[in-house]
Amino acid sequence: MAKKTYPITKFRFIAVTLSAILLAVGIISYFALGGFNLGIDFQSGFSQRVQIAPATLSLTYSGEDTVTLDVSNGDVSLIVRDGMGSRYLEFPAATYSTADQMAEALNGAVEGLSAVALDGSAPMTSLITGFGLPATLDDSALILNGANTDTSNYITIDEMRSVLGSEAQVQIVSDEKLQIFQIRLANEDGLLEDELSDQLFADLSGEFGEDSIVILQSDFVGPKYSSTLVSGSILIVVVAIALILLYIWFRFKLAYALAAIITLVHDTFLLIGFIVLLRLEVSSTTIAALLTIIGYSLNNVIVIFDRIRENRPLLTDLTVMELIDTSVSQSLSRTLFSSLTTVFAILPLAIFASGAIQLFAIEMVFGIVVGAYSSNLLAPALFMWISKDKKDDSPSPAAKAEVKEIPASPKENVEVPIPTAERKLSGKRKKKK
Amino acid sequence: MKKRGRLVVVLLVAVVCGIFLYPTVRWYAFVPQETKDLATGSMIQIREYAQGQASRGLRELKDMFYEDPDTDVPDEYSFLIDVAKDNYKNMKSDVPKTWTLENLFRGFYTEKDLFDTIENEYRTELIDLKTLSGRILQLGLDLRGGMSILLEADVAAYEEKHSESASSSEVAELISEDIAILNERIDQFGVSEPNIRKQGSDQILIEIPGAADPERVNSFLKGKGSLTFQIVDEELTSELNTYFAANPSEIYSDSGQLMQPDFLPAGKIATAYYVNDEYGLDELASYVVLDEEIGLDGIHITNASVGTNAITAQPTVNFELDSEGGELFYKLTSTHTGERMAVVQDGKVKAMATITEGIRNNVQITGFDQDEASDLSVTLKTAALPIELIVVSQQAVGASLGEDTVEAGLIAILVGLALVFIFMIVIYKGSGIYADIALLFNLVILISVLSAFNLTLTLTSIAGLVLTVGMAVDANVIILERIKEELSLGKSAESSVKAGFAKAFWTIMDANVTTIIAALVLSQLGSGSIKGFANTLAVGIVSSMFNALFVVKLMYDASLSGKNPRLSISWRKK
Repeated sequence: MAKKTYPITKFRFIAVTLSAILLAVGIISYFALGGFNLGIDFQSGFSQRVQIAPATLSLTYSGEDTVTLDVSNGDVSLIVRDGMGSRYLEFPAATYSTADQMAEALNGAVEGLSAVALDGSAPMTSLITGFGLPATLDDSALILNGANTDTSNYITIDEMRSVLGSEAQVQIVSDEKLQIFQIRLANEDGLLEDELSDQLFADLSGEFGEDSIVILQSDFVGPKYSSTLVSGSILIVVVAIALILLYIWFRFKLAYALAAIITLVHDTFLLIGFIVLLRLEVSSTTIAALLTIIGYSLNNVIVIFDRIRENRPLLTDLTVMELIDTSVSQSLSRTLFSSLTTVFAILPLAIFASGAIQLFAIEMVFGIVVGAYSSNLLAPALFMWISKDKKDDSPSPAAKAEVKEIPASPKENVEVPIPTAERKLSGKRKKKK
Repeated sequence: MKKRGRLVVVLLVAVVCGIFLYPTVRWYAFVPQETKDLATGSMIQIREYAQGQASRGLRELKDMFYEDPDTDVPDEYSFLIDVAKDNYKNMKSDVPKTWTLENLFRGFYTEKDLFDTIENEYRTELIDLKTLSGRILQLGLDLRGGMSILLEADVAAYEEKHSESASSSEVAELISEDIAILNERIDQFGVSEPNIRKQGSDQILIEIPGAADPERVNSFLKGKGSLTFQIVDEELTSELNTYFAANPSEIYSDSGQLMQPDFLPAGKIATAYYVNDEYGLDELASYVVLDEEIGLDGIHITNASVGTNAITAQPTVNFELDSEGGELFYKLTSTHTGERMAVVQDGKVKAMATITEGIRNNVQITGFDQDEASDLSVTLKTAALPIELIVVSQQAVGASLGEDTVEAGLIAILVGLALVFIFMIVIYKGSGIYADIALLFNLVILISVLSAFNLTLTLTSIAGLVLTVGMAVDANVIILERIKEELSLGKSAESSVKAGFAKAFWTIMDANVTTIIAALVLSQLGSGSIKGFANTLAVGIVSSMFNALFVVKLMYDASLSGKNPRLSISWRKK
């Protein structure tokens, strides 16, 4: 073989020790840190993302017609349905860059529309929108808010915590001075969504003023939903693992399947340990990450096992350790390259995204690294031990005889029956030789 | 398969993708935002808009006609000429050579006819676009802003109220009735049209794109103010109908609202009387003037049914009121005996009946045929849901957060794509370019399949998309590594490629099937947001296998079979 052979199996004890240590870290942190940091998906409650943003523009409309306002990236657009028919007016932030300019432009645009700049110098590009847009304007003022641009003066997380009391969990989202907070309330009293949201709004507006609170996102999960989600998630993981196991069993021998499943369980628990250790929030996207990693890590293991299976009848002069070393080395560049491309693709998401998707991306990156490690070092070692125990996979004279028997009478397989697909394949390969 | 045959298959896939993608591209690139807003609104809004535009158009044409009847028909109304031509032919008169306004007006039987033609033009355009919007790749609520609410039947409250237990099939039926009622109430929702779906046997999922206003949603769920009883003013009603018949362009304002003529005194409002038309929409029958004061709010109705009058055998509509409603209704009916009372839903008159006596709790209305009676009983039932609903979960996302997410997602996809692109070329040189082309084609297939199946693009499906970008080149990597090995054994380029593909085939199959299994389980058993991710991943992997084993193979075969066969797979000198 042209490729260099790495002594993979030599590291088997180091690999197992490392895995054991990492698993232990996971278990210890689970008990030390008090279990999972459950998201509201799994633990009924209420979560809102709120931005404290100064009021920038105030708009009222006193005319008879219908004026609908929308904001997108600081560009203000109006749809006016009046005596002139339906008109569409656009006020790009590029042209009207400050609140003063925008207010002036809006004032002249439609009769009866009055716009007041509450913070005249505020840049329009910082305009943010929460719920309620597009909005139909009327004589009660519509307030548009702009993100806080004052870098020296902003509300800190501690101030927010003291306003909301100890029961609320508060987190800062993105840049601190933008004053975006993720606030979570447990719902122990079984309150309704509107009660919780009213209560939070009252707390916030009492402190920061009604007009400067922009609700960016709001999630409410009732107790019933979270309990069905837990059982649903467990079902998903179990069904997926069972089906995958069946497939490998069908395509490979049992020894491969066992080694693969142990590797997979190992990867899953390492990932769970990582989530627990870093107190990452467990939500339904975590389940998605877990399952994707299960699929992905198996993907790696299968490529390697496939190589071992393929090499076994060809390299009969090697010991089982040499066989494994050769096979892993042959597929090493593929495993590394594929893992790298996946990390390349997912890493930007871990950096640029926020919230659940960012967590998903972080978990995926970790999972891929773990997968690359376990499929190259751990899985081959496990396979070696399992097949040694079973004594049916070592290239002993008996095994050699088995290989020779295949083309002659493939149905009389002595040890473990080779699945149909593989049988066809080995037959084909034999012919080629 | 022969090369040409495979090329045909690849081209066919490309064409099918193009067909699938066309509506999406057209919608996002060529339809102006204003029209999008209108077309995604409810049918009611579309009708209001079309009627408003028709009123405006008719008025404009009339003004121009009074000024100078010989003015040419403006370009924007040229569609009227075709209709007028047909009308001339039908009337067996000569089609005029020049199209002045006078000739155009002569081409229509009545002013109403002209109005209808203009309305039809606007409506058809929007309805076509609405149909288009149903066939495109939609952004999920988490990306464009909006609200989704999962509601569940409050079985306990129902059983307590009716003091009997409800079986699960009964609950499922009640939930279906609830959905029918909520759909009736959609009209009052304004800017955007909510999507109401049954989920499982006892849950309802409501998705409202755009304005996520919890207060409006609450009133929508409670149905308050959607159904009222008001007293009819006969004298003004006949006056109004005469007036509107004489002035069809004065009926609707440009926003499609019924105009309130000046002769109506304060406290009286003009409304339209609707019956259901064949489109399932309300069709205008006539106009009615009502007392603005609401006699009774429909939330007091506890039950409604269709019956038969024992003596006259006429169909009747019976409904019951709660005690407070009974008091109010008695006051209303006893002071207005002999007058007509209108059942008003969302500002539109649905039925009218003469009050014969003061009535308290059990009300019987007659004077309809069987169909009208059952329609009315449905309308009355819409005042209260047959089974109350509790909020199981509620998610709302403001539009600007959605915009930011889309932006971050796009950046992530582009950066990831760029990194993978560069990596493949650095490692595999020319073959890397093949893999990159396959990767792009893979994204096109993926997005077109998502549009074809009307799947929405959510936050999680962006994650699936990103992951697919990374994993899609995996199959290529497996093949290329194999080819490299074969080459290093001293085989020729062509046989190395052949052997590389052959040996990699089952490896790729085995490796990807496991991921597909995981994705399929997720998409079948996962909750809403997870489904999007799983679907994207599953489709992405299947199409990446197609690309690696079929499209890339074709590229190699083409480049190796020419006069100057070359295989570029590494920067290293051999």
